[in-house]
Amino acid sequence: MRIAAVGDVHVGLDMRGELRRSLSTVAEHADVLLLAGDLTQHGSREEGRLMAEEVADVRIPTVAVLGNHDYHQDAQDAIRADLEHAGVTVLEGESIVLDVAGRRVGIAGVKGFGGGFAGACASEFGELEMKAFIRHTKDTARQLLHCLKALQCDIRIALTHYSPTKDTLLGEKLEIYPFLGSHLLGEAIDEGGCVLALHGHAHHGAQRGITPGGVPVRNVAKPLIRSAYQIFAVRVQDGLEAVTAAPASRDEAAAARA
Amino acid sequence: MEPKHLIGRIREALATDPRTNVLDITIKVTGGKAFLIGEVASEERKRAAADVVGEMLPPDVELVDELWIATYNEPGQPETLG
Repeated sequence: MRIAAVGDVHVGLDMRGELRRSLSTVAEHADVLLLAGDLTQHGSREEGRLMAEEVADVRIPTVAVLGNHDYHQDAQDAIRADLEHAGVTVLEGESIVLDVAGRRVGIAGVKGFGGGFAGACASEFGELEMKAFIRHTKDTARQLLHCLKALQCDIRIALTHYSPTKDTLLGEKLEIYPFLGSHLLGEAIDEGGCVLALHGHAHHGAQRGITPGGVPVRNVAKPLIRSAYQIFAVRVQDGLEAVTAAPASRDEAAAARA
Repeated sequence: MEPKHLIGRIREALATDPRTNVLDITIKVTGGKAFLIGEVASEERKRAAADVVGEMLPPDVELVDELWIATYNEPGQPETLG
């Protein structure tokens, strides 16, 4: 099973046709395309329409979450509607099961949010604004877990915009980690039992990481992967246990942290 | 203005100005110059960033545009998981 993924394409009216060209052959290389948020640059309705046009010709199932840029002008509902009209499944606290190469692939998606990572994270305490910030993160993590647990499928994949691990933030400034992701997303992914977690948002981060529970995490932000998309070949054997984290990924993450 | 304060104001302008809405440009202010460093997706976005910052700089600070346009490769070999 081949999964193509990219995030942070940041489509703007100045880039008409570019994404369409870069995705023109994706169906030859993958069975499904996942988009990890920040599909637009300014979050405008016009950009949402353009994004929908850009992906309308992709001939494989396409599943997306939105990112913080897509919310900037409060046009996220319109952006979502245009994408769905173009055949894209947009997930926000939702999931979908696709029949891919004879297997049922469950994808649970949320935008996610920030808050930081164990040992250096914010709590739902103090001012209303701070509590609202963390409550949003908790809500989105809870939705992700709920979706993952409810999925009836052969393998589960988590799709977020914000990062579930600090491993894939390596290269970003340490001071902004709390704005790039949350350990609560990682907890949900571990508890939900994924074979792979994909996210974007961290343009200057690292491509590979792992959750504390051993789920491989891949940051597919386009400015980071420096490619139209990244392809993952997932070997599905006899269920979830057969496709959990490869030890090599664990080693890489440990080396990166050292 | 202290260079670090100016960096903060430039960062806020780049993030919030509707011409840019960009968060990942590196800004350095030193020796009477403000440097914009990083990758942008198009010539138009490069020009917009320079315009936004150029309009807000104090007269004694010179803008140095070190932004470049992103280029992307063809997708490589799949990574096999499992």
